[in-house]
Amino acid sequence: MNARNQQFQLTVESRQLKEAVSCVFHTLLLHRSVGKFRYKAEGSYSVGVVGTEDVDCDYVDLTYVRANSPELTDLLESDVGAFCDAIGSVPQTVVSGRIALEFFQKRKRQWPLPEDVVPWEIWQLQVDVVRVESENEYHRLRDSVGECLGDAVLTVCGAVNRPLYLPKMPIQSDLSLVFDTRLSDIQPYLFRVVHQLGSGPGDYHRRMLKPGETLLPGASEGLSTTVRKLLKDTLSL
Amino acid sequence: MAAQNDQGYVEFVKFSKFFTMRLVQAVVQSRLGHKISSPCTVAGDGSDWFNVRIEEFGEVTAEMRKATGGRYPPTYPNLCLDFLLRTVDGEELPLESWCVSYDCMNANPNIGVRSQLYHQLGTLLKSTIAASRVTPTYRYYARKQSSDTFIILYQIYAGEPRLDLGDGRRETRIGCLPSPYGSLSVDLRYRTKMVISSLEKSGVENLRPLPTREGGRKAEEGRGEEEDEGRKGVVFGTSPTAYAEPLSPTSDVNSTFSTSPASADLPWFGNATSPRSSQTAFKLGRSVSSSEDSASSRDAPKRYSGSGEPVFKMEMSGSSPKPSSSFPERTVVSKTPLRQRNNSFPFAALLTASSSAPNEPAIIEQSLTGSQRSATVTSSIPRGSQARSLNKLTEEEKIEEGKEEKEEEKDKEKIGDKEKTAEGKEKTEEEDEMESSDDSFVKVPANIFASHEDLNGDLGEFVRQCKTAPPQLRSFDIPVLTAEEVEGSPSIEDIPKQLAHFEADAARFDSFISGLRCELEEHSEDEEA
Repeated sequence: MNARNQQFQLTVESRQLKEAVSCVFHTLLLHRSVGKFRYKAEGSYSVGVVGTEDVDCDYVDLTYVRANSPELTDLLESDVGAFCDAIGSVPQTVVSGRIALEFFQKRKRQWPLPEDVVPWEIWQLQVDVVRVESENEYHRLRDSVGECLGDAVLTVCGAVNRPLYLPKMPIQSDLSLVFDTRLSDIQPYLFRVVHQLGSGPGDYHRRMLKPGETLLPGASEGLSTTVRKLLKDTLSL
Repeated sequence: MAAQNDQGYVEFVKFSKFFTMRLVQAVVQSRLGHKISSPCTVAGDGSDWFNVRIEEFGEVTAEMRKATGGRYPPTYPNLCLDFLLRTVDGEELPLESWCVSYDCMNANPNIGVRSQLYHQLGTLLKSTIAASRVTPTYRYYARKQSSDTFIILYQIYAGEPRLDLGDGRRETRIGCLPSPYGSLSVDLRYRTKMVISSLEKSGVENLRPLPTREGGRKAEEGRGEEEDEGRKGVVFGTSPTAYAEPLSPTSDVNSTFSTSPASADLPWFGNATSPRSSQTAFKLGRSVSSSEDSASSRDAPKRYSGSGEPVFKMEMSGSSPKPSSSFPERTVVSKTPLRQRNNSFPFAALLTASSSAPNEPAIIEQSLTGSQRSATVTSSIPRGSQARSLNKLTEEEKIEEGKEEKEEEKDKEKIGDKEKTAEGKEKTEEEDEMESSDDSFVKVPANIFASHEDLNGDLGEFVRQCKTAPPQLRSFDIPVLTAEEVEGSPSIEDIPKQLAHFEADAARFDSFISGLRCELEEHSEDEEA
């Protein structure tokens, strides 16, 4: 199945990176979350309520809305924080990186094969992190980043309301194949955050990565070589 | 199209109604000027439609009922929610318009109303909430409302959007959801050039200040039956007294609303006919009746259409970039490194007027701390442009006042007033004072005590004594000293001598006082005996 793919481009200062990514991803997660399901019996369940929360950015002239779930916020923050740390560790004037929020569903396969992970919607954020020389430059950036993020929010709103594919509501036993059931107050669709440094056309989203795993430029070749070697060794046996 | 009497259609109508109501609530509440936070809960109550937590303010619900007669899409094809900015001087600037539309032609029979459409409506509601924070209305105005600068008004009506948002307005479709019975769409139109022209009218006659008290959830349910069913337009009763209605038993956000600039004690909301009088009324805290209020609101745009000269003259810089985004057009001036958002943005002066810190470095420091977003936005506005805007406005006001004075003088000449010019000016000033005193003042008659016979008791006696009192009492007669007497009078240098003299006689004075006391005591003892 082909996943829907949408990309945004942003130029930010290092202080704005976390807020910029959080703004876009929290907007997406707000739309891609439902109230917590509470099953009474098979086929009969009640749905909780999604509350919202206004978030004023400290380094961008913008307020965005996120689902008012501290657990979800912490979950996303750890992934976004890992990306920001990776960007910050590069001692260059301009650092590029890509971070993606993927929504996926799992499909059961025959034993002993593990569940298949099928992304159905991917939102990529191509970020150029620059350094500003003066306060004036920084203030210009505050405003321009706010505008870009505002446009991104409106784009997200327009996109998510189109009649596009969404995983079907599962039966109770398959709930964890579609939704992230770890959170106590909200139920987002299964998602993961992956990132890589550099601006190359990486295909990281097609591979299985653990949330927060970093793909450095050139690492993809190493991984594929390793897998190929492993297969060869297996066949030679 | 499916039969309109089946269960699915009934549910579609119900969902459309509650979706529209929740959308209006969410957007209006986002313009109140404070952050909103509602928790996620596992068990929702019956009022949480579409699994999204949105508070319901009874006043907003009541306005919706008034505006639509309790009918929503799909009964009406369009329902609009407009927002305008109104300054303390009565200027109005249309900002944005939200429209919920129903299109019976765009149907999809494969959509399940109870499951799929209900879920999609929840997503669309979230989109509306998210989008409402990124428009210029929220970014530049909603959180900076003040009783000293500007407020945001809203209006709900059934029908096509009629708000004129000027050149460069932007339109975006938040979402369109087909169903077996037609589609529901939410469209957003907003202004990008924050410029008001002399001929521009808001196109809105009846405005509503944002609610100042929580209306309460479901407080207005069942009230709509007595409303005029056939009314499509809205005649808002913008009386501040309407806010005093105990609408809601829940009052957890009452304190927040009490600080809202759209407070009930701000009568200048509706008194937009005269900036001068509106300011006076505001100072006096005079309450305005609903009829006056609505009438003056209607008159407000006419004031500018009638005069050929705009009160606000905009500086339209040729270097202004075209609006390429969702935000107001700005101008970049090469001399100033700061991006001057508001050079072609006259209402920028309003954003800065509420700022108490004119010191730019201090503002920048605030922005670095990041805690006050409003202060940060203010800092991005060049102070020079603010001063230009404000100075220009002041100059134009003076010019207008000068014209008015000249016209008054001409009128007096026409009616043959032969008084001297100076006297005429004095009279003009007196008339100005009379005019500047708003009719909200309660005039006290000058001869209220003319008939003191009508007064009884002590007050009447006091008035009579005042009337019969001699023009000047002898005890207050102070002889006017001649020049010689002035020379002979003791000077400051003589004061020490006089003090020494009094000190020398202090024993004599003390004996005099003690003698008086003895006489008094003897007198009292005689009386007792």
